[in-house]
Amino acid sequence: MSDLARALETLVPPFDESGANWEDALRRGDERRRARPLLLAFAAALAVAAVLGATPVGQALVTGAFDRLSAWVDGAPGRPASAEERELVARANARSAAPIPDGTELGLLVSTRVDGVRYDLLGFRDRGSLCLRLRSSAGVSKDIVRAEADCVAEQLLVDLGKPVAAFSAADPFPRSRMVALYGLAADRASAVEVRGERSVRRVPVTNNAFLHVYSGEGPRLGERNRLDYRADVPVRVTALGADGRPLGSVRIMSLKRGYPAPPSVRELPGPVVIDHALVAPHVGWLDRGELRGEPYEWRNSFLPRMRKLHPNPATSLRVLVSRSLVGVSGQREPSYCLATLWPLSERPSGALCVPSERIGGLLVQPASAIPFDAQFPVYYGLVADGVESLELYLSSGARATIPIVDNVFALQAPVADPPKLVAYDAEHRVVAIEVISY
Amino acid sequence: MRLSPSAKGASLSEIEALYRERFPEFRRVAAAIVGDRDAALDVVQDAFGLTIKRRARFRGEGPLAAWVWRTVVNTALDHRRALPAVPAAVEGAIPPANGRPEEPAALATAVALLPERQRLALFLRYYADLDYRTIAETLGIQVGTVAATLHAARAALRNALSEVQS
Repeated sequence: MSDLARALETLVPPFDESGANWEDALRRGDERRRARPLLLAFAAALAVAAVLGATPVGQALVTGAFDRLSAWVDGAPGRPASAEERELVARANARSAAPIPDGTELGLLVSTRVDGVRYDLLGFRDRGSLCLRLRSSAGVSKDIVRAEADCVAEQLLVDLGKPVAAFSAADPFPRSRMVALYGLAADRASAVEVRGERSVRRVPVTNNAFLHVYSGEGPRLGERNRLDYRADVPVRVTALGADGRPLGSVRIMSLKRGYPAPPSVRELPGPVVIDHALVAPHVGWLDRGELRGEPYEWRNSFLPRMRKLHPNPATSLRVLVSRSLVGVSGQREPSYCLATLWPLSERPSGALCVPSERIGGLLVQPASAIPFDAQFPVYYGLVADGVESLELYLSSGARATIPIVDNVFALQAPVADPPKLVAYDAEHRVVAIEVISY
Repeated sequence: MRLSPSAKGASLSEIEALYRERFPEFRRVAAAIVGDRDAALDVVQDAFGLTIKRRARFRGEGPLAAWVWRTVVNTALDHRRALPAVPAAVEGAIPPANGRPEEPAALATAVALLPERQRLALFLRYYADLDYRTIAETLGIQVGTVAATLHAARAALRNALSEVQS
């Protein structure tokens, strides 16, 4: 063994015990085995929602629930954030390749203290999106730094028609074994009920926001298996009125419990048949090497020269695109490559390359700003030349037009509620249909 | 994501076989990328969860092992990017009983300063003993590029070690 090999051997020694647990991997991945009961439950919930929607009382529950977020009406939500926090965001924005608008105000929505550590949930508006930023007084040396912010398009919250939205149910503080669940609730909600696999907790709503931080530590932590330490995964959040009555609820999706199997094209509203197939779909300006958008140099990446586009005015998120001969997926043929720049982020994340001859009419890639259990992933991608418009059909019945800029689009959808994306040509013929799921 | 019409998918038994056969190597590479030996277990479990979930997307254009390795590497990178900016692999550094205490730290720093492609190629070669073709498929580069990448990485690390030892 060479000196270098010996040194590397010391740097990351082999594991004494493997820790392999195939059943755990299956639980994390085999969504169909787990999701069927969830899907049936969801169908039942939709049926209930439909019935409620037909009555005056029901109408108040399922329509326009997020029209009233008083704390977010203007300026910064909640009370002004500390000067230190404002400075941190300002510095991140100055470095960011996807900056939020100048003058954006940062507010402190709600705080909680667990085991002597303070957790703050901050909020700001980014164009048409509502953004939450979680901070811990434990500091970066002890805990993971969360993504700069989680943002959800305000119109999507309205379209979903629920009085509560959980943005994330992740474990952003793995070193201290803390789990955080946070989100927004409508004015009528004074608290939310967080139902876990084995517990129910009530969490107050302040400034239209809730924050639930708790120890995920279980009795088997010593076995080094993080699946075991997360004792109680949240499965549902219900908004409660001042009188304690439930106003409506949302399911919480997590990788550890399994995501729902996506519905079929026919199970969702909107077209189910392609009217006209595009011939040899492609993205002409990329093929021709035209320099659209802005240049972006992704240093130390195999996709160094990309073009930066801002496809959706509801968010500062940018999408990077290029045409490459070397793709991340191992193919060695001309490929279209994409990556995302999250609002406030300095570097791109995620990268996808697909052979250019295989994009079909529509190429969709899911991504989330946080590593695990985002409830509102972003779906971004390319449409081929000849696609004139995109329509998103939510299972709630709402429909939204998705902007396209130079063949690039970006949208958000709830992971618990996969929607259908339909591409139309200039004659409004359906040229592609995708049920998009995380 | 729209897939190739020729998508054939991977079977659960194939994935399980890889998992059972190579789990220690998957975990070790994940530990090197993430810089946290405990978190590496979760990374590998999540990566295989994704592999199982997305197995229908495997197109069969390269070895299944490379496709799975790519998922493990990408999951580890995603995890890594959410962590504070400390050099990767530093937490795994354990000074040898009779070695110079500064040597592992110097190596860890040198590894952390390598370009990402060099670092990943190095981990896949030394900690998983992958052949050049599988490394190339995993990282989406040419086989010849793997050799050059590893050569550059080794040269940089040898320089770092020789500075400490001199």
